[in-house]
Amino acid sequence: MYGILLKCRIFAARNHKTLHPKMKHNLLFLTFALLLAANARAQVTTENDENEVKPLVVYTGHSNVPVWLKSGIGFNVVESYEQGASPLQYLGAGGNLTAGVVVAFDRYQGEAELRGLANIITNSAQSATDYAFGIEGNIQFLYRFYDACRDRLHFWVGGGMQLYLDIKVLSQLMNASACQSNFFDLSPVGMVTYDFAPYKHSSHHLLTAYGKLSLPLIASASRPGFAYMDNYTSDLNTVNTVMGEYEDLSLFCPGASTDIGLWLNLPYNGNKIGVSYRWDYLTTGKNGIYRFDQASHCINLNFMFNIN
Amino acid sequence: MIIMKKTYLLFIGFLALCFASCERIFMEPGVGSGPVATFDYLWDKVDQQYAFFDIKGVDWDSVREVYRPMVDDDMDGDSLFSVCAAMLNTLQDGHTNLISSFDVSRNDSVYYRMIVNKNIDAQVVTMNYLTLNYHSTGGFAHNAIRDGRVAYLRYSSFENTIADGTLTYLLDRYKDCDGMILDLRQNGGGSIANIQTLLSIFDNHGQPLYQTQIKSGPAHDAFTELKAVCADTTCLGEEPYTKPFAVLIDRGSYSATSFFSVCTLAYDNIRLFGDYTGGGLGLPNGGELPNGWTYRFSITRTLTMDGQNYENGVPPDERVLLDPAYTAQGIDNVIEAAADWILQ
Repeated sequence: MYGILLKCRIFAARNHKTLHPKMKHNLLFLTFALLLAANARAQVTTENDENEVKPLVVYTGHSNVPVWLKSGIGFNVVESYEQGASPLQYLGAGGNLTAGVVVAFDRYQGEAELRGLANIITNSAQSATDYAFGIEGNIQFLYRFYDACRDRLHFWVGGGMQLYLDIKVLSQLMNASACQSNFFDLSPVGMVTYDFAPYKHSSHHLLTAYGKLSLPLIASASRPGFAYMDNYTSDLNTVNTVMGEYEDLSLFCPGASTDIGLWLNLPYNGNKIGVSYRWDYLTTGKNGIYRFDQASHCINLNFMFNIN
Repeated sequence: MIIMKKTYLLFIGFLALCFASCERIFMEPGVGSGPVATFDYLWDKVDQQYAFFDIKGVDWDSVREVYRPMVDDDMDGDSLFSVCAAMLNTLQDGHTNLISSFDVSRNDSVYYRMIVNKNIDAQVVTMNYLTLNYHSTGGFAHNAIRDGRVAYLRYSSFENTIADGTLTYLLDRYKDCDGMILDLRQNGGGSIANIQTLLSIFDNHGQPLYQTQIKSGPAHDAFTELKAVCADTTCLGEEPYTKPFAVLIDRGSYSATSFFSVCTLAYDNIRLFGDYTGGGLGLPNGGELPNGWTYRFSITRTLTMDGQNYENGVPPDERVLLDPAYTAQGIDNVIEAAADWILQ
């Protein structure tokens, strides 16, 4: 249609001096009619494109039970309060490594993860540094109970359990000491994921944003007892004979854990690359002889490798 | 549309919750770091965790009445350190220290006894017993005396790590001697791990060595049940060392040396010669003060298997004080008494 219109205009331009006035009038009318027709067709075509619901094109290489190996590396800042060792709060920074496995089946998802943290910490009263280490293992099971927004927004609910081993090495104390604490908690978990594409006509949900909230409901802890701390400048076996007095605690609602991030879903192999921010807070509150407070903020680069 | 809006709101609200990171709301605030707060914190810690108020005869409440008025928030660090150190000094405990970036406090009475009641003349030992041709293995300076019939070993600090190879060499070198003298005079202690290593040469069959207990609560008499520490069940060499073994001690023998002295009570062939040890049978541990200084004091107490508390000094089996008349002649009568016992 645009070709016919163009030919008419070219013909008119070349022959405007020789054409009869009535012919000019007819050509103008024809041009105008063709313009209207072309515009109308364009309008209809665009409208159809916008209204068309594109089917979700996903990586079709997944098995019915996709499994991902998960790994991550990142930077963290930790704030901790170890009352038996010091009346001061410690602040530190360091790094963390994560490894795990994620299994999805139908509307269910299971995840097992192991994370190690290492920080250099100090407090406001000293210039020297001490060290804090953490090893965390957790297992979670989630069920996708609600979908919305044309199957892009998903709500998950589930539960998990976590083991956490915390070690502080306080080399600046006389008879330099190592403080070890062990925690175990059970927690309900909620998660929201939103699949989307960065541009309108994408046929693949390239990005997934997520937010996960875990609230440990009940927990147990093993903490140094009244006289506190093991002395690592002596042979530990000998000292533990004398000083191995730990107390076992029961804790209720000892903290919270949040994890928000963004995954880039690679379209051809099912792998994912992402970034996340994670906050973990754990406290013994008013339980036990010495209070333990710790909050860690982690920014991670994460990978998920689809293995089937 | 309304449902979609609500869903989006729920999603955004959930994300906002995930961004909370509000630990400061829940974390315990730090204690004030001024001089008064620091003094009070130290007094409270000692009051709750120190293990020897009874045997030292210290009225800790009275100590507070004396020293607390000396502290105010306008005083400088040096003055605060002096007051806190003087307060800790009343405990008469060599394991009690206050450590700052500019000074370390110690108990003067313990150190006074170590120096004034020293029961050894280093020059006499070096010139006439070790001699200038002495041998040095690990942390031991050693030589044979009494015409090669008695081995003399000088171990000056339990901070010197004792290796199995060191003991094996010494046992082999002096296998033809009638006995050994281990001189622990003025040995201020160190790592108690070396105690078990040193005891490994003797007849070990898991016998109990001493009992210990740790503070379990804030009351001055709140302790855990007594727990026995036992010898190992193995021996370093093919055969245990069963020949006469004399250990020399004095007021300068402190901490780990006192522990070792208590352990010798479990062995039939070991005998203590010299003066009482300096004590120090409480294991120290410590912490940090609000102003960043660190402290330590004894939080455990050690008793013999028959319930004796030797915090003020382990008694020798044979009390022999150094005689100036002998030392003037180059003779260490403590070593001579030990050698006579070995050769009798």
